[in-house]
Amino acid sequence: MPDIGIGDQISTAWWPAAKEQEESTDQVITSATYIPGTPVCDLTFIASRTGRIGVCVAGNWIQASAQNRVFISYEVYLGTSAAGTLVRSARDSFGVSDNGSTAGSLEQGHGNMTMVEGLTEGATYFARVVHRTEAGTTSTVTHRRIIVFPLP
Amino acid sequence: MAINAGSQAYGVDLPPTQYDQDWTTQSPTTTSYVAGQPEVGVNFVAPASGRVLVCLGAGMRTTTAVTSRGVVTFIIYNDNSDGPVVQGASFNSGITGIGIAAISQYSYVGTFKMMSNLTPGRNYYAQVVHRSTAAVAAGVVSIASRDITVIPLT
Repeated sequence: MPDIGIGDQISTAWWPAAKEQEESTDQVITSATYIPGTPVCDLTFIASRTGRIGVCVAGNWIQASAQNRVFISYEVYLGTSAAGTLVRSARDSFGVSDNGSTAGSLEQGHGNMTMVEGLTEGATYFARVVHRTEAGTTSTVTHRRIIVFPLP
Repeated sequence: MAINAGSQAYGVDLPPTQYDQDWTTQSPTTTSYVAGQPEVGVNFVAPASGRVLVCLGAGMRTTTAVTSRGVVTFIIYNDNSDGPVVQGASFNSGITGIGIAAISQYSYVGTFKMMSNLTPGRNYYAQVVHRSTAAVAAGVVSIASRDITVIPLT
């Protein structure tokens, strides 16, 4: 995964297309571990020359009960589906969450951005949004979005 | 329009990133989107790919125990705010404030949305707009800061 050096002529093959996927089907969830839901909000992308990408996840959700946060994150697999090798596991800190209010929450929404590095130039990868609740209580994710774009 | 594999990229293919921000507190009282005063927005040129990343940020609070929240999102126009709307204001593309139905302090968050199928080389205007989720008295829903960054994508 070479860096782009000073004086290098930049080939556009090094800069694959940015991708976005959105899904608005309400996800009523009780899982305390990350799940993709149905339908899955996913996309495939080609890794850039540098092997580095920016990943934005965003969503809207409702934390149904006190202090049981909703988390929305993402996973990246090598290949065109989740059958491939997992190269980025979901983490709470890679996505967005509720604030753990003692009163539950109304619908709210925002996003977050992180970087993934060490991808293989030119290889195809699969990324999907995953979500969970804090303690297995019922909450609702109302909108999910993921954007992947190449970084220098 | 795609930048094809093997073709050489030129500076004009990736126009400058644009940014605007303001700290003037906004107090929306209705569910209709307004640009506020002063307006926060950026003029940008679409890159060769026709794709840009719109990054929004805002600080919002609700100062009484009601369920109303602020919503901050954006509109994209051809040329300027007098031009045709290319992308109307979308609740799901923006930020919705923390809704805890109680007094809250300002919470600063952001979000991201990709715009595609823009015309390469054309001038656009991205304008931040906001509203309340329900009609409220002035000062109940407050927006302390608004910012927008538009980044060209490949």
